[in-house]
Amino acid sequence: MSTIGIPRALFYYYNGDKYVRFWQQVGFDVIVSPPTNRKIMEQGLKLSNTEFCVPVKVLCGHVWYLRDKVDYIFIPRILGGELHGRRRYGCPKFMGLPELVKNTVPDLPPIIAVDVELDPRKLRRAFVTTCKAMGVSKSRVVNALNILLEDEPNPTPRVEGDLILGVVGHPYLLYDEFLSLNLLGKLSDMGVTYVTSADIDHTILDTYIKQDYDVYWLYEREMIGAANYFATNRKFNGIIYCVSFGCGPSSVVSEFMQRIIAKRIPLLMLVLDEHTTEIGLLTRIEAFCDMLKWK
Amino acid sequence: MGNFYIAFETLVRELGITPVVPPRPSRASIEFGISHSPEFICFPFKATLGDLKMALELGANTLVWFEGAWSCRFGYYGRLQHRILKDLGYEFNSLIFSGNPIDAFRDARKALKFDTMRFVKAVRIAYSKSKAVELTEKLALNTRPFELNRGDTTRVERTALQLIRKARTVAEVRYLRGKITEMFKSIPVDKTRNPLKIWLVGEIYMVLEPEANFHIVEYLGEHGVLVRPFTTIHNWTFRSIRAGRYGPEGEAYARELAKPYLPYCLGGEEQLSIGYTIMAKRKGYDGVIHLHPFTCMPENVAYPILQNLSTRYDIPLLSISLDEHTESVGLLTRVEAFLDLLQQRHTNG
Repeated sequence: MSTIGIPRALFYYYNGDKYVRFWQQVGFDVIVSPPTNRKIMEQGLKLSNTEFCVPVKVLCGHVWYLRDKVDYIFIPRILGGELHGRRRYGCPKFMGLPELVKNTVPDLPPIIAVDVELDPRKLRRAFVTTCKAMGVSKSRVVNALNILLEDEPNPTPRVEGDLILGVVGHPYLLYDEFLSLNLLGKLSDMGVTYVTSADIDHTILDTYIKQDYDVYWLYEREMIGAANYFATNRKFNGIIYCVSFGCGPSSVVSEFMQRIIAKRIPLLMLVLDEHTTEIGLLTRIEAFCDMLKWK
Repeated sequence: MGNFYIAFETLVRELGITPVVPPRPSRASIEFGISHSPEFICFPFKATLGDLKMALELGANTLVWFEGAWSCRFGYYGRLQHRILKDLGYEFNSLIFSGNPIDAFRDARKALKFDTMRFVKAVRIAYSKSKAVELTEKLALNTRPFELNRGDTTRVERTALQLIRKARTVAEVRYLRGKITEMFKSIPVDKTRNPLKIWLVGEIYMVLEPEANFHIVEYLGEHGVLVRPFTTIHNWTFRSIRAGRYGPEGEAYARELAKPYLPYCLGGEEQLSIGYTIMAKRKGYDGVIHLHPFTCMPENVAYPILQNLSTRYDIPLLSISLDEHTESVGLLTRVEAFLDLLQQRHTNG
């Protein structure tokens, strides 16, 4: 039986576990690369173009780790699709991810590049054609696809505490402990209650996205919706907004955040890259929390 | 951007509106753009923000944006710049057009209250001017490497552009076309030279705006290189209504060539960069220079692909990322080194 490698980076943090279950049900062994460590990070930095954002560099590191352990590497191409009357896109880097990786990391096994669209019919067709080329029967794929299509609702998190923060950021940055220098862990250690933008259900977010900043990037519009949710909800004392340096959509969204959201709620914007140090980060979070407590 | 203003100024004036043309981006205007833009947004955003501020200070009361509608950041230039300038306390109206040209036209007609006939007439003049500008640029590119006295072509080009700018009717522009061709013919040239040929690809603003790329086109030309930017202002402006995108060197063919390496358009010129690099090889060009603004998303995806193409197909490639911190000396040194390299290949092989 052949094995498929899924790098633990970028898209993995959106619905990685679904992809893992999907490929297992189709009949492959799945290897997920370990959480980012220094070696993976350094390899990624060495291989990739200096201008990529850190998460993409780290992805290259993960792919490098997997390359001699698996027969295929799964990298979906997130294309977006029609949503609320407008065409939505992934970030250009997400849309060209398979090519980007193929041309950055040398000596790769074949890459499974599936076009992931919002429209379930197109998604199904894309997966069926790709799997057909790999010699998997259609019926098996169609059965397994239900895993990808099911949409389990996120229960709205209940929050209680003295200091409650909303943390806005890409899940692949926030939940990667190495990349975010364990930001979330640090917050818990300080006794802060937090809710991240990924914790809030899509359906709730949709009602908080105003026309002004209904951007066409899939993930960023949810981030700014979450920020608006935190700003509207009286329970929250402040927002920490995490961006990776060089993130294209974020450079636009951060401006909307600072010019619209930050007028209503204290906002700390953290720009993270491979040179960020733990102490610098900690100092800024502590200062921000102290300020909120005095307020 | 580049010589775009000539045609557009005419279009606006013919509609009965007074156009305000800000000066070319300068140190001061770019400095303004940087200090009020998001930290790592692309350079064209910062430069155009500076331009808009200059225009407002020259008395403009309405700003018009044409936005791209794809996944690149270009789709938010208007809304973001509008907000930034408003927050700074400037008073103006804004018109933001995005999407397809027909919708844009409908919105514009509603907002500016002109009738269709007048618009058609205005577009005719603007189109002919834009075409004349393209002719001038092409003649300049083809004459510059052969000129005997350095700087002649650039001087003639500037005069020609001024003439086109002043022209008022289609007939006048038509007459000018002949005159400009004559003007370029009268430049003393040495046709026996065998110049290097370089294709210039990359992000549109960086390739076509001389202030952003430190007049690289003129620099290359004056150093005896036949340089070929991948598109012209004319093609870019009218590409949605014009058949010029087809043909052996058209945009459509370039995209087709790029498909095996990058199957989807990412919203910028990345497919064109790849396509024209391949075309450069096929047409026997000596090298390719790839210009893009720092952190440009689409060109960044194209970058590793171009690097691999360059090795696999043996196309010398110089990829330069530009932003406000780039210095002309640094850039030109790299270009010069690249030219030396090409010259050696050229004479040896």
